[in-house]
Amino acid sequence: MIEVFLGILAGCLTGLVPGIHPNTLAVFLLSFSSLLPFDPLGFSLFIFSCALTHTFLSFIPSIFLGAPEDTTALSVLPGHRFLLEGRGMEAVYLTVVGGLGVVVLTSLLFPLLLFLLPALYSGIKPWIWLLLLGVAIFMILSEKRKLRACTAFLLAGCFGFILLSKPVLPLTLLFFPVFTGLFGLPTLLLSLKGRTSLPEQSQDWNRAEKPWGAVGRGWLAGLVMGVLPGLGASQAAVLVHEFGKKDLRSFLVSLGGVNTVASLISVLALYLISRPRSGVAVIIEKLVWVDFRLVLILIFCSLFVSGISAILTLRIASGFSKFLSRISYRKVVLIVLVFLVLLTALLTGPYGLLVLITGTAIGLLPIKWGLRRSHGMAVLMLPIILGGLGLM
Amino acid sequence: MDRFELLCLVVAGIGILGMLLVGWGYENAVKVGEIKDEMVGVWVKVCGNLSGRYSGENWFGELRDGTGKIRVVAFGLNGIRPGPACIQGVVESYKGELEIIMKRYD
Repeated sequence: MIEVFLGILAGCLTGLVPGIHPNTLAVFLLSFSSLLPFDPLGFSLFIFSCALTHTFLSFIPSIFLGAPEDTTALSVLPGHRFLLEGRGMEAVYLTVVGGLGVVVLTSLLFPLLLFLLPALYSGIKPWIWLLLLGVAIFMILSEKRKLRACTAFLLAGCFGFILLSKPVLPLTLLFFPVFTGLFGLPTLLLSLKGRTSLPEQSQDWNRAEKPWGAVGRGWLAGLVMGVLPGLGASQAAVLVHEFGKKDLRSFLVSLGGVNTVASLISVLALYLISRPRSGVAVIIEKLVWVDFRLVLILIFCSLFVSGISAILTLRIASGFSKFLSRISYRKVVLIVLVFLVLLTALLTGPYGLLVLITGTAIGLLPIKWGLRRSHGMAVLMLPIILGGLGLM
Repeated sequence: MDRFELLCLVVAGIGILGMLLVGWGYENAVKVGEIKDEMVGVWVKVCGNLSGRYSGENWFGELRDGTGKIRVVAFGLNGIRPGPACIQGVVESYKGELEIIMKRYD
């Protein structure tokens, strides 16, 4: 049990500090595994708990500071809008409802997953690029300014193609400047214009009327994308964004769900389809043999971890929102901007800074042109579509 | 504490109860007969009767249980003795046969 508690603590750290991913922490700790008081099973539970907690906490910097990662990128805009209306806590609460909901749903429907997931994996795998191509066409055609939408999509897509065809950095590190540039910095730069302080953040946020539809959509999208090779929560988020309800509250619930279920299912896939679907799952595969009893332990562990993480996320976010209301918002934005640039320089060097500047320029275009911000997700979509066509 | 946090605690309570019930006495050990080709590269724990001897700093032998036997190799691991034992290590394939590279000896 101590490993699970430590995993939750580590997940709080990786979730709250932008740029630290559980994969990075797990690989770092694995190299010192002989010094740690964990056996392989304990270490597996530790990183599993850490990864799951991370999916809850990572919405706090994304919503309050505009510092996202690939899986939370699309929450920046609705999250920021909620924040500027004094409803930042409500945005965090909605993602927590989604996260907790999908874990409960996965636990209840696990017997069904035993049969559904292997069939889903072999059935959809060859066609996923076609699905993403359909989403891309829909994203462009649903805009009023189609030529500009096409340009914004292709620019972000080419950016992704260049970065991912020969990655100079490990992907978890590379994604930090990419998504901070595409989604984080443009939001922060625009925030510098005008507003000098944040409105009082409402603490009356405990409302999510009938969230099960949104939880179900997030669960399904996260499940499909979490299990397919080369895809993940970020692509699932695009699907939910384009095909889910346009109501921002439902979208935030689904997004919270997508992130958590993709992380959970990527590890359960070790048993269900005998393949790891995330960096954390790859490490767990090397540590333990995942049998049926261990899968049951992991499912119960996910219930425990998500229950505790949900409470921790709300308590930490509540304290953070009260703190933010008391200080100059312009100063906070400036400090966060400098922090993100320095962190990028520290983690990824001059190459990362170049990626950050390019990403910010591309990320500002949809805002200036009055387009949806999700075009920035073409950074991952286009390389997968090109891969499906055999061009990458 | 509001109703949602109470719900979170109930979910966490079910989780911890389930973990304790399902995990009671669980060792994540496999039988020798269950070790298959697709487990190459995977860390396993196996209990059985260990036989073999040291050659220099390295140990060569085999582990048997009621379901089969498998070759066991340990590089630079001290204190290994023949007899009943639980070992942990990585499954590897050597000259077409599966073996365990022992990393821990209990």
